Amino acid sequence: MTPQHEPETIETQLRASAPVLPPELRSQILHRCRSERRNAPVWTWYRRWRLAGAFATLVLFCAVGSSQLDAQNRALLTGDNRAHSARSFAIPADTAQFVLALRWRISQLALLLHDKHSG
Amino acid sequence: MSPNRDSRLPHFSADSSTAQASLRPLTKRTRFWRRAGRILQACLLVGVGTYYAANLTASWQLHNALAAAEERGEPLQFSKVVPALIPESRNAAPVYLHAADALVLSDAEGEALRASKSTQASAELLAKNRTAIELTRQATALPDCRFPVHYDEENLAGILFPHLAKVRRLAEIVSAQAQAEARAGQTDAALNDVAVIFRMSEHLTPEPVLISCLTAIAIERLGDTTLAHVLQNVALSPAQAHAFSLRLSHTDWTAVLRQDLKGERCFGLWAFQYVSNPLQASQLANGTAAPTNNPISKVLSVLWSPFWKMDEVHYLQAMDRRNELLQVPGASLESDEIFMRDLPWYAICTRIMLPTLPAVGTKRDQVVDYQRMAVAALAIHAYRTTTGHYPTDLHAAEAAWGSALPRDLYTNQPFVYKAEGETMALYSIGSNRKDDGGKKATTSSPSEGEHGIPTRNTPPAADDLPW
Repeated sequence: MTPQHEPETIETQLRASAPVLPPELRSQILHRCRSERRNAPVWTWYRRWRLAGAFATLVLFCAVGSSQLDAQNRALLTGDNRAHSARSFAIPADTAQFVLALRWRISQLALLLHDKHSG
Repeated sequence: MSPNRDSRLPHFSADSSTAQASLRPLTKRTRFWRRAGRILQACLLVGVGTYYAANLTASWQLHNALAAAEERGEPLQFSKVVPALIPESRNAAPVYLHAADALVLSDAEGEALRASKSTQASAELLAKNRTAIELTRQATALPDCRFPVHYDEENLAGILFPHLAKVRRLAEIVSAQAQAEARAGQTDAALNDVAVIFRMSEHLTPEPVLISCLTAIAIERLGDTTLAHVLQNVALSPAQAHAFSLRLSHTDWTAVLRQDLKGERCFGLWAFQYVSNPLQASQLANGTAAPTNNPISKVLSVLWSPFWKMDEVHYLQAMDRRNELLQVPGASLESDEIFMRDLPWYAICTRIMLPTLPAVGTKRDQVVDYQRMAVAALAIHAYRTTTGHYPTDLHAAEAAWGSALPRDLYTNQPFVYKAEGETMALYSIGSNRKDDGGKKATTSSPSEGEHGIPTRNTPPAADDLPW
């Protein structure tokens, strides 16, 4: 493996950014960075936003679904179909499509926020 | 590759002391608060996710239960079980109300009449209530009956049935009149008035609520008691007995109960809509017209929403079970008691709404048994008129009657009958299916089981139904 293809590590980054660091400080920095890196793969900002997006989608799906079902239940219990129609009119007829569209929007937002955060 | 690509790397300055300060380990307190914050966030997220998932599941299950009920053609709105309007000329209700207005009965007189089961009414009391009695007789001649009840009230729990007490008082005075006529030897008049009482009971049955059903059952039982007194005092010929057997109550109490259960279920479903948390439900059960709707109650309603929907699902299931179990008079409700005992902890409204039903089942079984016993009693008294003494056993009475006598509801065997000289005892052995020597239950209320739910599983020591 040539140096050009050497995978970027904290050590190489540190070497490149602060070549004249005292050895004990370098050691401390490396220790701290490695310990943080252990958690890094899960908690990158991008992954956090994706996770939040998926969670929000799930919650939205549940909220929209239960709201739809509640409207139908109310229509059954009151015998007034207008209650259900009025509710259905407010959201797209195809709930799944609506939720998927929202999911895509949230992914876009996650990407946007990630880019903004990472400069 | 930019040296600053990974933003997580610390920024360094030439001053190594600043760099060392930035790398100083976190204090214990900061670490604690950071960890507490993360745990709180995680709990909040898990809570929100669980709430919405539970809400969706509960809505789905409730939807399935309601859709299944609708598919079976069962009414879900109270307006669908309300009896239809009837023409004034066919309606007995205004005449009953007129008769109740004409009733001259003080509270003390009413109490005395009720305590003595109408056996000790003075001639003066009957004379001053002649108009009321006559109007009651006229009312029973009309084919239909629909009292002016405000079934369209927004708060169904606020619907009043003031006519029930009035009709019951009228039945008591007619019973007293029938017994007085029997003592005076006026057999036909006395029997006519007994038939009037049975008809009054029948007139209350179209109302789709259990309280009307219970009042109708109480009136029919009063009719049975009156008939027993009348039969003791008159000599009934076999022809009169056969003719009167056709005028006995033939109400199908199982059908009445089925219809009332539909009404009660609609009322229960309305209650689940009208209130939305256990706090409001208990207020409604205690008779509060407008349950609390303050912010705390609103928040509780939102948080309790999944449990409330599941409670409604359990209520529907319990009502279906009850409906099925109450189809057969005399059947044991043991499995229902187990079902009620095993209800989940959150089914609070279901527990508030359902407990009275086993007691109604018991009353229905008793009144059905008395309907059957009335025919046997007529056969026994007709035999006595013909032969001058009571039959030695029911087979003799059955042979003289000319057709099979009805059997005990609980055992499907002939009723217990004992004749001793000038007295006789006729009784059913009751729901404990044990001959207690004709001793009836000392209390009419069902015993209480676990969670305060009335139960028929442990019937009283003696529960025979004497004629």
